[in-house]
Amino acid sequence: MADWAIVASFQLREILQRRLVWLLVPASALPVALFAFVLRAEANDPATPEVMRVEVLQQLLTMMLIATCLLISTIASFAAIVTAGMDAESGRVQMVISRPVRRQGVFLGQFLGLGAGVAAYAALFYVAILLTFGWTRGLWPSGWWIALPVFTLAPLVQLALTLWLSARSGPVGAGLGALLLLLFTWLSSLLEFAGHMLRLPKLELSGVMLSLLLPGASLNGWVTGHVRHGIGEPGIIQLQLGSDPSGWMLLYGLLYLVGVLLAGMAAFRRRDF
Amino acid sequence: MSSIAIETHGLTKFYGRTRGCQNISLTVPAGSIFGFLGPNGAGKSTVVKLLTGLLEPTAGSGAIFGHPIGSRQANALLGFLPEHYRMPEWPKARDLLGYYGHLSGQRPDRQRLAEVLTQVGLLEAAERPVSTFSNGMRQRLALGAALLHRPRLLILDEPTAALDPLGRRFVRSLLRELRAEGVTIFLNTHLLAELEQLCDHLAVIRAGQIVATGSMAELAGRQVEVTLRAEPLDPQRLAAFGPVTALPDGRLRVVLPTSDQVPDLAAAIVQAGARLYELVPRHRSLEDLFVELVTTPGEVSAGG
Repeated sequence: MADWAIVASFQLREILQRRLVWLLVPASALPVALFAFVLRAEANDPATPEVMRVEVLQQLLTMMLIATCLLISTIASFAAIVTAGMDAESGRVQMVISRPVRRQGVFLGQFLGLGAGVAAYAALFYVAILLTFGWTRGLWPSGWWIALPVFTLAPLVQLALTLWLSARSGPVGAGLGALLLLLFTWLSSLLEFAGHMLRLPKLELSGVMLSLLLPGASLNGWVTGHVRHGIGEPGIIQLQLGSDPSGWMLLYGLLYLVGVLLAGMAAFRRRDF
Repeated sequence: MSSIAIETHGLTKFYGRTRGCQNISLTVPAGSIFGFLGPNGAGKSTVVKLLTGLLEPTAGSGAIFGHPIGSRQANALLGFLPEHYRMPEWPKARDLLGYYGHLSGQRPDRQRLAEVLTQVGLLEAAERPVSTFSNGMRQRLALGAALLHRPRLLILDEPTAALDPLGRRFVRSLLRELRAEGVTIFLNTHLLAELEQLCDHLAVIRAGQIVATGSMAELAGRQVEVTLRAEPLDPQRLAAFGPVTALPDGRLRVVLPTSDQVPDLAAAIVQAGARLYELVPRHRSLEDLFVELVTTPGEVSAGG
């Protein structure tokens, strides 16, 4: 069995041993239940004109997916800090890398083990949101499952970034850096949105370029665009939001993930412990 | 296989501008127990981390049984117990050892796991999670993890730090058994009594540099400290024998390289026309040597 597979399997088993993880799953039911409550309340709201109803639902689903993506990305960063980052600081990793292993394999194994947990959690959350949406309102976005792997990709990028940073500095600095970058790129997406609304192409372009520093927001934009279009044709509000990220963003997201992983493996290999 | 377990040449590590260790040249014979001694902050752990590949040297080189330090071939031959280690809490002791065994390139079967658990006195606790272990049990489990793949070299950084006297005796006995099996042991410890009881060879590090190296017999066992009272006597007449110190009570202390020189010293005193009232030879302890080496400048090398 390869080094990375041994470490990945152990890391995943370790995640499943943590009580916090098992508390996280029922805790996640709370926002989903709140989402169901809002969807039902909206259905019974006579103030919403019928022609706008689909569009309002699209926006509710979009907001839920954005909030969830941000939450899971933040959790992914914390998972990287409290496991791999702290392992390096506490001396636990010394028991591993003083053995005849490839350090790159250990780093990759840590990512795959943690990533499997994060991806499973993100997928569970996504499915719960879409099922809640479908069962509550009887609307099933066509091809919603196609967006599932893309939805899990954004937190995985965040995880890889945090691991890379923790291979270069201490866990606290890595966590802060990764979360600040996450915040910055999501704010850049808002800048893009503001530029579109105000018809300022340079501001919009700046937002697009800055949000490329971390593709999480763009990937999530692709997901929300995909499920919105799966419900109905773009309406007035959607047109105001601007264009959805193209399919090239998926490629960029994947390349970004691979690039960050390679950089992390190189940093982990060179690092003094 | 090489008869030299560890060989380093000018091994140096700087953390930015801060010196971790400099110009460390060591030779550790295969099959020996090699003690590595030094005060806090002297650079012991830096050297240990360089040997195990945890640190990249700034300069110099080293080899473990002929393989470059830090290489997978070198690490396959060594077992390492770090000073500050932490182990996962949730696995059972047996499962955790199995994990470390896999990482060492082996697929340890139940029999080998039972052997190692027996060796470190934890067979009855094999099915217990590590979280229920005391500090001493964890230390022994970490030692077991270092032994699992039958290493030819064991590098132990403060292996008895968390152990009670019985635990220490247990580890000492285990190390002697391992030496009898031909395992080389590089022992980094503050406990001088342990080194005196176990080690064949010794190196002392101070401020990142080796200040003494050689066999225990050469460094500590053969030197004799003589306390004498003779009058009238100019202390300079004894300087040829070794360092002379005048004590506050009027006596003199002379450090001789070997006990063979005690009669020569007595003869020299008489020939100088002095009356010899008292002459007490005492073999120097490792503690005496250590205090002298870390408080006085210069380098002692006894070869070996």
